[in-house]
This record gives sequence, structure tokens and C-alpha cells, in this order.
Amino acid sequence: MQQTGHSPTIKAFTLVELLLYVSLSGAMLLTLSMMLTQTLQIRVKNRTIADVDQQGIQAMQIMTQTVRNANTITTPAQAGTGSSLVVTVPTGANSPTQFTVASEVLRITEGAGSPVNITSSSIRVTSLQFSNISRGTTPGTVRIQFTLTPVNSTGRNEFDYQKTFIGSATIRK
Amino acid sequence: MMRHRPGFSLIEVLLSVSVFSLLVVAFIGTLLYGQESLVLSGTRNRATVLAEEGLEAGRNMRDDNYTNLFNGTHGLTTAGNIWSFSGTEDITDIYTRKISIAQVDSTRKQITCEVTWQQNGQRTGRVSLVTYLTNWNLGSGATPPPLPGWSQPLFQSSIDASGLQDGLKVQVQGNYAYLIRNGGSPDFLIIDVSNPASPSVTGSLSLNGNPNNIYVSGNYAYIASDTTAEELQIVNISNPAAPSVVGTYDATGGAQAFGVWVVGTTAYITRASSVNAELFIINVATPSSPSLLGSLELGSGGTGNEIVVLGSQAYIASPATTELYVVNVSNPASPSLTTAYDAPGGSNALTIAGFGSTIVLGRADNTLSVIDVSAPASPSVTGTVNVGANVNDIAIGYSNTLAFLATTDGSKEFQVVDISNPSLPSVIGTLNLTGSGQLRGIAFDQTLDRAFGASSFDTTEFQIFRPGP
Repeated sequence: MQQTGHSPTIKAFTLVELLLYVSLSGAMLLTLSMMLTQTLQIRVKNRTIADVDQQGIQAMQIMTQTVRNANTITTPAQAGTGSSLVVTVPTGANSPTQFTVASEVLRITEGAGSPVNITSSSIRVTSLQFSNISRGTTPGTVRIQFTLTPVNSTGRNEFDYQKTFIGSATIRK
Repeated sequence: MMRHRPGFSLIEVLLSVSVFSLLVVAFIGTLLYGQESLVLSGTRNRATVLAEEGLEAGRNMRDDNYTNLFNGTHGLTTAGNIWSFSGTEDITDIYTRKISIAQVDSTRKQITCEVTWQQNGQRTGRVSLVTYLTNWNLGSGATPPPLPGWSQPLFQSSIDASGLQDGLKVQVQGNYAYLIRNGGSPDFLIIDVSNPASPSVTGSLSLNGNPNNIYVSGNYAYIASDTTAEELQIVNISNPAAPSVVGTYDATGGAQAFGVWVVGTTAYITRASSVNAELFIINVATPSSPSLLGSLELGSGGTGNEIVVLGSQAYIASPATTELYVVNVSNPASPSLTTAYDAPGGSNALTIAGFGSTIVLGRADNTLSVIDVSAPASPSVTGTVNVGANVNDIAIGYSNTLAFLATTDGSKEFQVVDISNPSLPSVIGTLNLTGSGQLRGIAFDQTLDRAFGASSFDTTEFQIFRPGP
């Protein structure tokens, strides 16, 4: 007579074991993917921060260096403020040198040349203000102030970083 | 029958989950800290720009008027659309800025701009930039310079050389002053004056005979001596701790040397009047064996008290009727008398100094004369000032606008004369030294902004004077 019933030699997972396995690996995958997302977000944010900081300092240095080497400050006039800076510089071909913002990008125009962008299109330059706060008969000093914001049309957190840069330069004579 | 198969126990599962979560936390933590440090570096960059702004503002205020930089700690304001100091600090965004101004000397200030901010709960960030601003506009044009404290000279410090012999002449080069005395041991001293408040003797020497005058140039000090067998003594001073005589020169005849001047490798000595020459031009390219280039007899009574060489002409102060001998030394082998100038008045010339085409002569009738020698053959006195006593020695400073005098006046041994206007020299400051005696020698160093005196006082043969407040 044939023996019936389960064979003790067949191995298999029980349902409980399977459920446990699935839930554990699910949790693991979830954590891993969250970690990956986080990593990517932080990477983008890091790039945003570096972009804003470095472009800000670079733009500031270009402007302060130009002013230090300049002959005179044409615009803004003494005690005046404005959104563009015009200086006469010793190199005739580069004079006057002008700094303005167009389409939220900072630009430099040297002499009769065409404007050259100083900041990238991924960064918005706003609230650019030059203040000529020179004393009476001095060669001149100008205060430069601007705010950098990354372009962030979708309002994502990774692109949310705004900084204001303030600096001054005095003509060397 | 059931067999036990190996499997994960709950403990193992928990353990692996916790290890995994530790890794995740560490990983994410690293990323977040990296991001924080990036933000901090940006914050620091902006702080640096603000600190730079502080220095630039100071520079603009200096350009306006040096006196705008008053000592102390200040904040900045742009009120009235100009930079000015206000309060003790100013706040921009998260940054607090302080500007400290400290006096370096009468024409220089140190500007320190410190920016601090709260980095996070526990830490404060700090950027500090330093620069020096000078009163570059000082001696411009015909207007007399704003007088740098020397209208009220003050005694600063002194050194007592052993013995009672007088300090005679002094020269200064770099951080060292070189003092000679009329005898005693030692009679040649090297003094470290890098800290004018406490000078110290680094080396000394006893010379043969007594020195009469000294000129320091490079690694050598040239001594005019009363020893007639070695009128010129050359001292190696390259090691301030151990000066040594490396060469001497015996000029023909037995008159002592009074004056000495050196240009490059050529030394000029002048002597007391004698039948022999009074001016000797000596090649000192090899200090151990100086050799004669040429000499000149100045004539009867033509003692050479002191000598100054400007360009191709040597100017000799003399007690003769013609107080100023001008000698063409363009050819050292055969110096020739350009002119012997009889300055107005009959008093002897005791000491001489000069620059450019101007000679300053100290005479025995208590006067200091400024003489224009732009035409060496026809000198002319442009201005004279009575300083109340004989002038023993003259030092020129402040871009040739001030003359510092060592005089015999018992109540104003040290005097400062403004010679910026050659036609109108005027005494602007005097100092009465403690005790009775006279100042015999004087030297001035612009870098240290100090005058150095050699005096007859027994306990303060070497003295340092500083500008007043």
C-alpha cells in the first residue's frame, strides 16, 4: 500500500518565512532608495551652494580689482547710487569699463567691446547696487552690493539658496 | 520526523538591521557635514570681502585726511554718503565688524579689520585683515609739512659708557648706532637701537689714539683719528659683536684728521692745517690696504673741520676766513679748488651737512646757515638762523626738511630746525637735557624716526631722542 501524507524530505518556506523575507527586503530597498535620493539631493544642493558662493566672490573680485586699478569712477557720481558702475581705466582700449545687469546676469563691457557675462545663466543677480561714497577730494571709493539666487522655477529645495555680497573698493593712486 | 533547518534568529535580524542603519546614518551624516562646511566656507568668503571693505574705507578716509585715522576701535557708517567711523563696531547681515587703528610711528598707522559671526551654536567665526597706511601726502610742494612731533622732541633713553670721556660723534645704520668718544676705553661702541626704548651695547673697541669723526658705510666704519700715524682707521663692523680695525692710512705729515666722508670705495679725510695737504682722497676698495688717490693743500689756516661730498664736489667746513672750501674731486688723482667761499661774518665753520645742491653750515657765531651750491663756484647763503649756541653737529631728516642739531647750549642742547624753506630756516623744537654739558654729535634715522646724540654727560654719553606726542 502506498504511503500517503507529506514527505519529510521536501524542504520549503513556510508562508510566515516568506512574508518575513519580503517585508525585510522591502524595508531594506526602501531605505536604500531613500539614501540614494538623499545623496542626489545633497549633491545638487552642494553644487548650488558652491555656484552661488564662488560666482559671488568671483564677480566681487573682478569688480573690486577693476575699481582699484581704475583712474576715476564716472557713474555713480559722488554720493550717488545706481545699478550700473562705469569707471575709466588706464588701458585706453578698455576704457570706460562698465558693469551692468541684463536679464539677471552680471555683465562687463570694456571700451567699445561687446558685453561679456560674468555670472552664469543658472544664477540670478538681483538688487545690484553701486554706491559712490567717496570723500571730498579723494580718488574715490565705491560700495558694491548684490544678491545671488539660483534659477529655481519649480521651487525645489535643492535650488533654494540666496546670498547677499557686500564689498568695497578704493582707487589706488 | 522534523529536522531542524538553520535560519536567522530574531537577534541576528535585529543586529544586521542596526548595523545597516548605523552605516546609513554615518553616510548621510558625512554628506550633511560636507554640506555644512561648504556653507561655512561661503560664509567665511563673504566675511573676508567685508573685512576688505573695512580696509578700503580706511584707505579712502586716509586719502581725504590722514588725521581721519584716529587711534582706537571703530565701527563704520556710510551716513551722509561718505565713509566715516561711528561707534565701536558695525553689523551687516550676520557679521560684526570692528576696525582697530594703532600708531606705528608718526607717519604710519596699522589698520586691523576684524569680522566675527556666529558660525553655529557654539562656534564663532573670525576673519582679521591687517594693513598699514602711511601719511604719504606729508612733504608735498612748497607748503611746510605738518610737523611730525619733532616740534616737541623728548628724551627717550641713554647708555652710559664706562669712564668720563665724552661721546663725540655718532652714526646710525640699520638697527645699529656707532658712537665714538674722545678717549677712554672703549672709545668705539656699537649699540643695538632696534628697540629705541632700551638700547644695548653689542660690541666695542679701543682705537689707537682718539677718534675725531666717524663715517659708517656698509660693513665698515671709517674713523678720522688724532693719531698722526694713522689718520684714517677702518673698522670692520660686519659682526656687531666683534668690531676690529682692519686697515689704517698714514697721510703725509703730522696733522690730525678731523673730518671723514666715504662715497663707494673712496674715502675723503680732512686734517688740521699744516704745511702738508689738508684733503686726502683715499682708495679703500681693499680696506686692509688703503692707498692714496690724490691730495690737496688748502693753504694757510685751511683746517678741514668736516667734509661733505655731493656729486663731483667736496665741501669742507673750515675755521679759516673762507669758511667753505669747495673742491672739485671729479678726478680723484688731482683734486682742484673750485672756490674758497667767505661766508658773511667772521666766525669759524664748525660742522657741515648737505643734500642735493644745498649745504647746511654750523658756525661759531651761534648760527646755522643754509647755502645754495647749485653753482659750486659761487655758493650763496640763502638763509641763516640763530640757534643761541655753537652747533657741534648736524643731521638731516624728513626728506631734507628738518635739521637736527647738537649744540653747546646748556638749556637746549638738542634742537630741531625746519629747513624746508631755504630762505627761512627756523628752530621749531628744542630739548633741555638733564644735567649740564653739551651735545657733541647727532645722527638721525628715518625708519626708526629717532635722533641719536653723543653727549659730554658722563653717565649718558649716548642718548636717544624721540618725537613728541
